[in-house]
Amino acid sequence: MNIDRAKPLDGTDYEAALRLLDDELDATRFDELDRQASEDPAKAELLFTLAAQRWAISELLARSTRLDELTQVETQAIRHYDGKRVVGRGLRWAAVVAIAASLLAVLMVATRDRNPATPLQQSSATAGSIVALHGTGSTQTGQTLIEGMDVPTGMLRIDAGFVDLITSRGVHLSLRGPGVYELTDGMRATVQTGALAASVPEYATGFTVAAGNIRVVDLGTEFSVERGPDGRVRVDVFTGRVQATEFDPAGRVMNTHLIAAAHARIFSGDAETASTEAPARNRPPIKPQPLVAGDPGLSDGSRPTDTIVFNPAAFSSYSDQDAMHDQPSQLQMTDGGQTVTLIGNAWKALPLEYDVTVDTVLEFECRITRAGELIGIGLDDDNNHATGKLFALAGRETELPYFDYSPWSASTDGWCHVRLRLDAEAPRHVRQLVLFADDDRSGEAEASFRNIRIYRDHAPGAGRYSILEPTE
Amino acid sequence: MAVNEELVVRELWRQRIRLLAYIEVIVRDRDLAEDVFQEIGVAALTKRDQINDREHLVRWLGQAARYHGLTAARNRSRHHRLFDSRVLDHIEAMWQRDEPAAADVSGAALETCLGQLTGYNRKLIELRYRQGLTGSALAEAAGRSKNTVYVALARVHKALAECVTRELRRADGSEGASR
Repeated sequence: MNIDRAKPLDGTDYEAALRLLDDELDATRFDELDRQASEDPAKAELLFTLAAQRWAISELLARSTRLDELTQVETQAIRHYDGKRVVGRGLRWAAVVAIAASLLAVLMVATRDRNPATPLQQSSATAGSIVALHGTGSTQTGQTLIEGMDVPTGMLRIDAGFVDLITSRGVHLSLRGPGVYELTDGMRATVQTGALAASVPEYATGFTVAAGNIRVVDLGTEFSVERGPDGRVRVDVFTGRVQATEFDPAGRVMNTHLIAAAHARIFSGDAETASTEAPARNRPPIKPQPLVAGDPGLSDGSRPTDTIVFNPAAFSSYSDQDAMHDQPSQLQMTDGGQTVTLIGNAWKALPLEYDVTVDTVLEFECRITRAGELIGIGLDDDNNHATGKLFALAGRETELPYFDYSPWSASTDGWCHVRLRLDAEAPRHVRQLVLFADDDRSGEAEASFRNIRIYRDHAPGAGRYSILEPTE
Repeated sequence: MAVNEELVVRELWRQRIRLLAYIEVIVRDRDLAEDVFQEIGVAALTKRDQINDREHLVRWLGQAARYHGLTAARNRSRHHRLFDSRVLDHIEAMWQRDEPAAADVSGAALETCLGQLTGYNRKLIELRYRQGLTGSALAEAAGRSKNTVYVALARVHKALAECVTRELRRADGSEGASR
């Protein structure tokens, strides 16, 4: 803006304009300024240029504040990754982008949300709440993440697994570990490294994700943003569309892309290399995919030689039983994911997609350390223990109507090798492998499972859940 | 031919500081100015079918700032004193000149000039624009009377404006020629 005038404005003009903008002028002085500005365009224009200067100063100072904060986080992030410089200069630009995104996000959200009861400027220090925790992580202050907790604004580190949360503005986010994220508020997030999936309700349109020199603004959609250690950023859109903007190191807009549903784009993370289209994914790269026939341990043919390899991030709480009555629920992995141990009052489900036939066999080994009320296994399709076809192996309450129970009671001495024929359930499509160690009174059950296989065996079986080999 | 959504968003972003400034002059409340800015964003996207091109959009934004700003100011309080329309005409004339990306260009220059501030002047700017203090609160934090603080702050702003002008001229290479 040109402030170079033939007749220079003096300090008194600036002071009056300054007081006016701060609403610190009394009526008399306002009227005087009004009269002067009416007659002298320079004085009117000073109001405008001074106001612009003030907004620019505010923006610059806010940007420098965030740079300071993110520089600290950068140090922490680098340390976290054992000295590997996983976040480079892009981090500083993430700060710039985040600042730049703020106004745009506010603007875009306003296109759908003009409810005065929900002010656009969130002053709360709470960015959202964790609705499901399938991994481990911590907040910027080192607080361990737990399900149900309010997540403060600031950095969020996911060490493993993934976290589902709902922001204070109603945006559903899934964050994959390992990864480092920042939740600026309910409408803005930054991916330092990792992958974030967002499902944005209409009233939160404009939700913005920054990653490196890329800013992604939701235009009513479901999308994911993934940023690798090499700084590359991948944006996938599953429904609706987003606007992805690239910035150069000076913070200027380089390119803007509208990415529609079923499309993806990869950004190099630097200003020199053009972004490219990529084959679209059909789901976000956050949550482990369900096991299907052909994966280790799962076959729609004969008995596979390998067994199911467990991924702790893939397990979720089953039905309403997990950790019921505030009892502990632990899930531990050993033997490189070959063995899973449930402790306390733990009910866990592993997602899979499988068609049970009259020939289907569920084979596994189990070791029951403390039977508690129930130890068991089964397959289900609706995350409801009351309708699931579950098999009780041991415990005090094995005769509950929900469960099939064999006369054989699992030994507590070492591992038992079990083969169950699922012919009575066929045909049926199942979506969950369920494991449980139930003890909602004292939380002391403990059992381990390993070498699980699901396959088809055409040898004739007898009865429901026939136990073919009950002993090791 | 209507402008597309991308152009509207891009232009709103480019003009954001000028728009906020224009609105703030009218409403004299930064939070309210931001609200009005959002309203204008909504309106621009909603009515983009009626806007022919970028130049039309810039003119439209200036008029929208004036209209929405005045409406918000009136709604805020019936005691809110409004400028004579000639004042706003002067500002609108300046707006319509649409000096190229003034806010963005001066952003770098302003950053340089801010970096040259020291001591008390730097403190005043920090208190006012980082911490958001105004009036008596600003005076108390600065340890001076309100009058003294506003006089000092006015000098800082004037110095910054002059510094930015110099920096922009230097960038254009025009200053060297004049020396």
